[in-house]
Amino acid sequence: MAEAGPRAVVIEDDDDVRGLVRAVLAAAGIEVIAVAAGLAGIAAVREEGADLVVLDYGLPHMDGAQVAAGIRAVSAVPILLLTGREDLVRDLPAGVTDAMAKPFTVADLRRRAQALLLP
Amino acid sequence: MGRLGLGQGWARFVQLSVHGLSQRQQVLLSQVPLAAALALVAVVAVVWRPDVAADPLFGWGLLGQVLLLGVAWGVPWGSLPFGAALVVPLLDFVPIGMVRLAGLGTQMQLGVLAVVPVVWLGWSGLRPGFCMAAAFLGPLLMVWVPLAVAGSADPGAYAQVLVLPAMMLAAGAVVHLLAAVTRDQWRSIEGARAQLQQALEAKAREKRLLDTVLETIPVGVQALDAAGTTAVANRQQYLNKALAGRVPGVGQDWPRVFDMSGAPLPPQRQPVVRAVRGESFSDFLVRLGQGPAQRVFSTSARPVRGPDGAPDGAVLAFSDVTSLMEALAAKDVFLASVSHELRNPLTSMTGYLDLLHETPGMPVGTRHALEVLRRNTDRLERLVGDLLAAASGVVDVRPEPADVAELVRLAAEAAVPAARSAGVGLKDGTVDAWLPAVVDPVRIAQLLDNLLSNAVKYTRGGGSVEVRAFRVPGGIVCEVRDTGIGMSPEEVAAVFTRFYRAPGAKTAHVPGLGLGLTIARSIVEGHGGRIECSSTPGAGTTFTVFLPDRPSSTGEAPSRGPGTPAGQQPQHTGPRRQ
Repeated sequence: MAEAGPRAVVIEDDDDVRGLVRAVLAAAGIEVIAVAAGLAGIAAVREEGADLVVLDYGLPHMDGAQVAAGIRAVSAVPILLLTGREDLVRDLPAGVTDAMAKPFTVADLRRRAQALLLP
Repeated sequence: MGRLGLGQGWARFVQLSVHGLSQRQQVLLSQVPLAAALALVAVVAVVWRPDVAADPLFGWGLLGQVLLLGVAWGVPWGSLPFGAALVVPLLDFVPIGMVRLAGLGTQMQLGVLAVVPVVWLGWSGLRPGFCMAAAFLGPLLMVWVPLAVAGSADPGAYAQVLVLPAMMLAAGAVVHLLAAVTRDQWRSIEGARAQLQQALEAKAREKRLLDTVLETIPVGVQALDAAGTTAVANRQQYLNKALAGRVPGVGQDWPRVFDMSGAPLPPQRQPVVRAVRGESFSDFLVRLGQGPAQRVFSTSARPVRGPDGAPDGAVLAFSDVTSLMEALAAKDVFLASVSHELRNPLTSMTGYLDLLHETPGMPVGTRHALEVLRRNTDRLERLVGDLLAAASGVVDVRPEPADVAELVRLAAEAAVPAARSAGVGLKDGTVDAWLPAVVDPVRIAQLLDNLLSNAVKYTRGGGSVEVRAFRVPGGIVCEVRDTGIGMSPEEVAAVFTRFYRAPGAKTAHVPGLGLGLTIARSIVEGHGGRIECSSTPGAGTTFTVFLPDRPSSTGEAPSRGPGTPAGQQPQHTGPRRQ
């Protein structure tokens, strides 16, 4: 983490939601690496390093819980889960730091991202 | 035993003589003993008394008896009146009299043979007076005619021989009496037998009916006796047992019984064992069998009570509800996946609308358009949330200190535009300015919105809707009363059923998913409260919600406040008094 600003890896298969999250985080001064699949996300965290992971639960091939476990194998980075399932917001999957129900407000995303970036 | 044997012998004999044989056979049978006796007499006479055998009367007598046998055999008695057969025993007296006279009166004791026709006369039971007279007069003629023919004028001789007719009359009377008694007995035995037969037939019919019922219903039925042994089971239940891997005759537990989570059910919790213990239960769900063959059963049991009320076995019913469970699961999966699929586009829409809204320098018209869009995406989001909540059957309730009076005020304000366009008067009748409570303000607002929009939807122009909240001992009551179209008692009973829409609502073309009230009830129950509905068709409907200060355990669902970092204890796990 030689760069000045914090870096977030966004893992979301829906292009529009990924674009939204990227736009909100970038506007908050966060460097964003956005990918559409779980394995690419784990690789990005391992190779580039990250201060925050924003992870969608409903990913193809690997779901969010499996991706979170994969990230935990390489990093202790905080993971913010995005999901349409309210039960996952109540009972966080292993390795997940915080969760937000879809649809969320931009303000809420901004607030939580910043709360997780503060040590 | 002996008496019984004798009774049965008599009964069989009478049955033979009355029912078993044709009339010709009966008449012939009445002649056989006499014919046999005379044949014996003939043999004795030929061997030891050739003088008697040589007497023409003896020969005529034997011939007469042979002729009578022929008559008994040859005459079609069946087509003659039944009494006609009496002629045969009457005529029997003639050969007997002849044989008696043969040997110049030395074989007078042969007159006793008259007892045979007398017995038959007495036994016949026909014309008792005539038969008794014949039983006396026949032997009388038999003894007097020879005297008269011989020209005897001695009254003493006539009187002496009266012994035989008197004896015969007595014998006839006794036989007649015995026959009457036997017939009586036979009739009562026959009656009892017929009743028994009827009872047996009725029982057999009942059993056939029961068997057919048991085999027709698609439910496995099993009856156990007090020892837990199967007394009755239908084919379906044997199939169910086979599915559960039950080995016949080895204990009562079934090896392949699982609870709904798929864990093996210990024997003491298995339906059959519970039923043997005398437990009464309904709709106890179990899985029987393994792998793809596994089925879900709703099981019920009731103990059978003996005459003294003590447990005397049990009846079990196993109803296969696999298809129902699969349909329910498929519907929930469908609803859930539809809801999830709707949430991604909603997220993009609300998110970009938020970003646009934050953009400075937006023209007023554009800003207004954005607000309309945002409001409608909120509405869509709420509908999706309703669908998902209905599918999962759970509403997330996060209680926190809030003012119910303020929530009612806001809900009433929010309903004003809809009420105005429908021409319905709307009134907030809450008197208290402040009604503090520990509730989930978002959910209570949703509840009030639901009830108010319902009330406005189902009230015609000119009607009115009133909402009010007030404190009662132990909690707060919210009430929404309308003067709308109302509902029948049947509709009221079904009003909280999900996807239920009252017929009146459908005919009035009131839009809706039929989820609002189901979710309203889930919200109230999530707070540990109650919701009730009372309605009169044509007069209006009132929904009453009771929110307790201290919800029961059902209201204390684990919840996490928004933004609570992981690992931190939830802010409000239970209610707090203000």
